[in-house]
Amino acid sequence: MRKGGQMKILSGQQADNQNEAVRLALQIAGVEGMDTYIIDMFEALPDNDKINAEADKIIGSTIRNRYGNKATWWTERWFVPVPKLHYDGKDIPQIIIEVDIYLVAAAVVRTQDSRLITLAGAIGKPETLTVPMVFLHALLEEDMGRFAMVARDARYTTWEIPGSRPVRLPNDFVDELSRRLKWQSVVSWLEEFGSQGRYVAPLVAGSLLGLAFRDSSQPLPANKEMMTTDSLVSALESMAYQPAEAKEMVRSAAPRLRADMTLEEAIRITLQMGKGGDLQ
Amino acid sequence: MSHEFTVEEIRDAAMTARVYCPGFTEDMFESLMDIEKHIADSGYLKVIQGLLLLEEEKGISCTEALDACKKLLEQKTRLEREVPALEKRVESLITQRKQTSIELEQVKQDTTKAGQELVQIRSQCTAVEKKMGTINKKLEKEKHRIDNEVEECYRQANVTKEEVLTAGRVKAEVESHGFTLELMLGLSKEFAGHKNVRTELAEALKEHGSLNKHLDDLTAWGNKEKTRVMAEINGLESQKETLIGESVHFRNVLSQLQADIKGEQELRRFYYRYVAVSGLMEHLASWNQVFFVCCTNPAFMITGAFDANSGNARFWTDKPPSMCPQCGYRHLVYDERVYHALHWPVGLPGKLNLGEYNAQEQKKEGNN
Repeated sequence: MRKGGQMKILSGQQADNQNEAVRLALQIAGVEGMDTYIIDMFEALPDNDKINAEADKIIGSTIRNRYGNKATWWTERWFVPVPKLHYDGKDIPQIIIEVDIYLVAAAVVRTQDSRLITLAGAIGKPETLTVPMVFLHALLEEDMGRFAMVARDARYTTWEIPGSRPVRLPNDFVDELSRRLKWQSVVSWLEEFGSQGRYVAPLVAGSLLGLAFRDSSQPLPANKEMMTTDSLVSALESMAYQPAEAKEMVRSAAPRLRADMTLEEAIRITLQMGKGGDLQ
Repeated sequence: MSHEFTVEEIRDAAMTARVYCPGFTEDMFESLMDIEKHIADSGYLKVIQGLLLLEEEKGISCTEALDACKKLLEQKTRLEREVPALEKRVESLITQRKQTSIELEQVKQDTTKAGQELVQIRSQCTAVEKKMGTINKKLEKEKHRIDNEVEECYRQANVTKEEVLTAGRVKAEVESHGFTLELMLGLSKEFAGHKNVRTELAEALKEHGSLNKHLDDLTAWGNKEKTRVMAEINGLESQKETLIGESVHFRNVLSQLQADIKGEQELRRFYYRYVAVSGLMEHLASWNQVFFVCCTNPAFMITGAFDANSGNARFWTDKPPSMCPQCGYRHLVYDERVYHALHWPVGLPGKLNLGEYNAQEQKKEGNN
């Protein structure tokens, strides 16, 4: 939970409607180039009763801290969900969207005199949405039946993803994403997130292409298979090294390893480094 | 995609793709990008579509497309040369078609007209058929009526059809012998009532010499016999009138006797009912005047409602009443029922008169 002190107080009425509130929230969050259509996708996320109560508290404490306990005020408020996008390929490739709810409140404060101010800042606990690439690929292929639905209520559905933890996503978000991907590409959708979307777009596109061509590609021999940390550790384990030992060997060889190496080459370097040798 | 990936981005994408598809290369990614560009070009798709159509429709593969195209162009040139002749042919066919259409229209109009006439004739036929049906019904009815009338005539004449036919045959037979039917009927009347006409006729001729004499004798005998029978009838009728007069007299006597018996029974009933109280009546008749009085004491009115014997006292007196002899109550009234029974005005002092059986009445009875 964020504290009330994190709310910014801007002089004058900086927002008069939802669009202006969105612009101000994105500015304060330091997000560039985000399309308002993306904001719309997350509008149903906040729990209105809870967030309103919290907004009342924060607005009250912020104004009293600034203008004293005798200050009275009247506010008009807007809530703006601001998503932050990450790509994570650690265990299973996935997109992580962390959604902060920003409060933008135009307030008239009365003390000895009256003044117009605007309060803006994130409130509440950010909500994290995890979208595995296999899930996104299934959405594109309209093949959601491949995942078992393990829980559902009016707002959220939880799917079981093989090889990963269950994924819990808001129903409105999934419906909207599915609808959008019928007429626009994933990269185009990611670009609506602005600069952060453009950064993760190649990785997401690559993952989806990998998933799309996975079944049609022939298995590669080890001398042509590209190296990943996991595949390297697995290969060492298959050579009778203990898991901890294999991981330590990979960690030691890390400065010499490159992502564009073949697995065979990576194994050779790791073994050489493990023997204490150096590359020629 | 709205923007193209850079070389580094393509390398990142290919590396990421290799997580799921180890054989995925940057070249594959670039070829996919090229395909995307081609797909974005509508002309490219049209060419592909044309090649596919060529293969599907003509069975010409992509590699043979150019040769096929050359052949098709030659064919096109040849066909274009044929176009003017075909156009003329089309024009002639169009003219022919127009002419045919006009004729068809004319035929349609004629057909419609003929159809209308046919409908009219059919309706007329129907009307005539209906009329014929009505006439047939009338004829049947008339025939039936005539048959009934004939039957009625037969019935009234008390003959049957067979009898009429027989009569016709008889008439013809009679006329064939030179007689008339009227003559034969007259002769039949003559012989009616005689069992053995031929024998009787022979005997009569033998006895009277001729048929006319025999008839005159029969007439005289009949007149004499009629006179005798009429005299007997007159005697019997006078006897009948005498008997009717006697019967009326005896009926009157019987009625008088029955009335006497009824009166005597009434007198007997009266005697047995009132002879026991005649002394009392005689005693009352000896009073100069008599008052029939009733007490109105309210106490006895109430007790009288429960028991008739405990009610108000009634009493008769020859003096004007002043108080009740039973309870001494002074408010009294006249007993109206008694006055009404005697047909006396209520409260008027009166004397009871008994009737006398005098000589005048005895005489009246004797007359009756």
